[in-house]
Amino acid sequence: MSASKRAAGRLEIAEDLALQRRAWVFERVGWIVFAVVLLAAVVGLFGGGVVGDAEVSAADGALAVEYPRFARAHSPLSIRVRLEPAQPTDGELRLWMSREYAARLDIDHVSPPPSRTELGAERIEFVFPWRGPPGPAAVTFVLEADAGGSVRGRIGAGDGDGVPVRHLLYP
Amino acid sequence: MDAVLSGLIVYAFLLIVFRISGKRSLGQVTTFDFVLLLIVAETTQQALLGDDYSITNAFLLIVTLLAIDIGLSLIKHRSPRLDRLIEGLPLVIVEGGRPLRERMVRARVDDQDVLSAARIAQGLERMEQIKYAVLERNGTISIIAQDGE
Repeated sequence: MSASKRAAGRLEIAEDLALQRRAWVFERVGWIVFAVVLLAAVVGLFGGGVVGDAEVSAADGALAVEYPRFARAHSPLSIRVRLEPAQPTDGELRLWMSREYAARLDIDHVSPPPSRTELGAERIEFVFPWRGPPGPAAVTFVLEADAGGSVRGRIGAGDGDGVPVRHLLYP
Repeated sequence: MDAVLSGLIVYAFLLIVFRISGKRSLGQVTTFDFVLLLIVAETTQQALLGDDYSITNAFLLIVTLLAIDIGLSLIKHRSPRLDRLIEGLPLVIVEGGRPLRERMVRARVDDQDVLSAARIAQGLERMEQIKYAVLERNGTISIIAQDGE
């Protein structure tokens, strides 16, 4: 389609009203897309909102992990592990993450900090000294991904099977 | 590779997003336009650099963006059709002193914008003195005065 050169009076201008109208339609459609994106963001589809927060519990109810389903790369991602109750062995509480999960996400910090971490073939373990009788406990891991994608892993305590965790990370 | 890909994606994204916003969004006519431009620039910079502050990354990004710019201008030169798609077309919004209402509404331009441009460009006083007002591709309004003004 060629632009119709319209000599309106003596004005030489390359106007094309048909294309212009299509451009306006494109604009309107674009605005709707904007609105949908904003709505999705507010609701939490892009991280940090109501829809994204998830919690998974172990079968016996002793372990629960709160994690975000949707998150963004290069920005802090908080996982909260709750033990009700904690079951320390020899005065130590052990929490573990599956190896691929820990490899995929950098650990920014753990709150409270563990006294040491132990690497294994399948897991990375965080060891916290424990004082007193068994009771409820909560540990927060702040992680950061350096790339987008889907991440899965397991998080658990002691010798348990742990619970599955997954995130969809936006680049 | 990261830098090149980021540059490409961000450039394409901005192109599409500003096309969706219509001609006037970056006209830089009002303070708000200017503020918008500043904020977009800042946000883009953060996204492009990430946490890589090396000179190399900066140079790669600059080269990528310039290369895309050159590439696009070559393409637009070869294909007038693509040029119109990417950059848009000028639009007559006032003819013979009379505003073309439907066009102005759709282009989100009002009489005040036209009159302001007329004052700035030609020192005109009234709508009737305007022979043609054209909404140019870059969002500015150009004014042609009636013969004899």
